[in-house]
Amino acid sequence: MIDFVLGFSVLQILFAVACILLGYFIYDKRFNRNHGNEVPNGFIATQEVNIDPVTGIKTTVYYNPKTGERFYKQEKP
Amino acid sequence: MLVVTTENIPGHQITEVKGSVYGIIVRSRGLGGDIMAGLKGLVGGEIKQYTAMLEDSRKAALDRMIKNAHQMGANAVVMMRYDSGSIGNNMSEIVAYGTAVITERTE
Repeated sequence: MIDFVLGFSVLQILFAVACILLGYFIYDKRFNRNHGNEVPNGFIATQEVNIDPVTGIKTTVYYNPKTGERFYKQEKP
Repeated sequence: MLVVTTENIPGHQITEVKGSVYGIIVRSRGLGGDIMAGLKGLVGGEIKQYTAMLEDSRKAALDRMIKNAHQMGANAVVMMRYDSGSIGNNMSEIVAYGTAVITERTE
């Protein structure tokens, strides 16, 4: 009985650790973090500016009138 | 795509109303982020894990609303608003909504 309880507890801890690792490395990514500095063709500048409250990175927003997509260009600090 | 929170856009005239438009997203921080945020909540101060989550959610909701407005053939969204709610213990729902319109410059 003790072995079962101990084994079940270890299994739960391993499951939690797996969830944390999967979340950190795969799922829990910042939105548009990888947009970068190069603006793709077809995007025009808007007057929208955003400073990330956590990283402090300033981004300017570009808009593609053909597709309706937006691009967040990271400005150099 | 012009997005404003006002009813009218100075220097523009609304020629056609396409209808209401919205963009929605539900995000969570994950187990690791929740644990860290819970520990930070014990000592006080800004919970940056959740600040980042809500910042990203609002950006994503706005992007989706604009993409939907573009699909409707609009070139502006007026009366844009955000609304928020929570689902379960650790999921946040953000919706950006407004009225998709076609505007023309008058000046």
